Amino acid sequence: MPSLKTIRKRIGSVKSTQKITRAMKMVAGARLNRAQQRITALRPYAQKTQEILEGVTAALAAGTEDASGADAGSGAIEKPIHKLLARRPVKKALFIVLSSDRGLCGGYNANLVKLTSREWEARKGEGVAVSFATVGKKAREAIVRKGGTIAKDFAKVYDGLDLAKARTVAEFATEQFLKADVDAVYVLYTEFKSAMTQKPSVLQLLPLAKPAAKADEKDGASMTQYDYEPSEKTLLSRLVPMYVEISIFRALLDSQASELGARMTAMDAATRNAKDMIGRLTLVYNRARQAAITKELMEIIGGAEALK
Amino acid sequence: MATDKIELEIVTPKGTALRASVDEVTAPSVHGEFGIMPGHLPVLVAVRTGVITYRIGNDSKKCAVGEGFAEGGPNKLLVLTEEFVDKDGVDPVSVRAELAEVETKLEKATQAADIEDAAATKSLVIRENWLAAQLELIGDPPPPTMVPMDDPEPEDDDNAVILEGDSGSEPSA
Repeated sequence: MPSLKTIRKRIGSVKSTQKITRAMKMVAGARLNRAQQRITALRPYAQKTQEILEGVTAALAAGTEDASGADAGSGAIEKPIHKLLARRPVKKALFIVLSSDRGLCGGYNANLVKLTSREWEARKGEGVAVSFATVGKKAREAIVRKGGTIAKDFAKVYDGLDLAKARTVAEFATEQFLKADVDAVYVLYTEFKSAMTQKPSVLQLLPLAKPAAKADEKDGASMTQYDYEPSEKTLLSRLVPMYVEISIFRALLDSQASELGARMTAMDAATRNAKDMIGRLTLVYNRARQAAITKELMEIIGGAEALK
Repeated sequence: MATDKIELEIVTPKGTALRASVDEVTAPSVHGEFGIMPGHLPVLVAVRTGVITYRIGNDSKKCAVGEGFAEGGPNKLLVLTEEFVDKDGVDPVSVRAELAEVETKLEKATQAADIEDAAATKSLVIRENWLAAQLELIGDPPPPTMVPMDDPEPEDDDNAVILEGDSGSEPSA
């Protein structure tokens, strides 16, 4: 049985750990609230941008339908209505992995890395070369360990996350795509479902998924025919980069909220575990103390007995 | 039309900035300015940094917006923009100070004529325009050295759309 002093020390250390985990849980909770608000605030903006983009692409696609409809079946390369919508046979892909800078958030980073490896293996099987751009220290470290090539690492994105920071990421992705360094760009991030559940997900960023099919489903009445000022194509050349930015910003916000949610859950569990542990240790401590007292009493009685 | 009002809504990445039922809106577009009154045809317009004026009854109000888009229908106008501020939200002192700072930076950038800094210069210009728009809102004239925003029509046309035989069909509104 360990000595009384060591048990006491152990209890002390568990208690201070518990203080830390509790504080981390509180901080994560407070910041999660703010992050969630930002997600909610961005939603209408993102949605409307998407709607307008879909409308414009559909209108443009309708204009070129006669031209592209003929060769769509023959497998010829479709004429893209915007460079960022260009579909090329995918030989090289860029993965943008959004992880966190800090640990102590449960399985958050581990799950994301697992998804990344899975996707990576799948791409390897198809003969696609994958390069990585990372946000956050954890993904970078994991990918380097696995021998991936990091094309770019974005540091300190989460401190004061705003649209401008999302833009730097978007610009990098767009540039790579336009230079034909990569043929597709995917964002691997953690989708925020609730404070308790987060889901690692893949989002195809570039080329933009074609919204035309969806537009077809809508009945003609709901598809408003707009007057465009300036021309559709000029509008599109502004809309598309904006949409890319928004998509990344959204993924970043989701990742941030997920990290905080995961941390909150993990720290809550840790605090509870610490409490249990303190309980158990206190029990052991009291038993040891009782034993020591009994032993001492026996010794005194034994001594008195001997004197008789 | 059912109503003779326009539902004006300004949405930014930070949330819905303004929602009001108004009689008339005038907003800056990349080609100048456009006005919307109830019953307007559906339009989709690229919005330039500047001041939006809207009228409720005889009461005219103003707010400044950044670059973005506007979707107008018979009874609504939705503005998507990155920046928004109303008249009470402008802090003249800090805006003027920052504008002066941006001006000096811009001057340096144009003198040096760095091509590699094109992106940085562009963001400075955007910032300058935004600050100037805020000052315009509180009644200050724009700085005389203001750099105008780029032409909205892309020069390198291959960057935008490849549409052959369709270039003449731009809406001549």
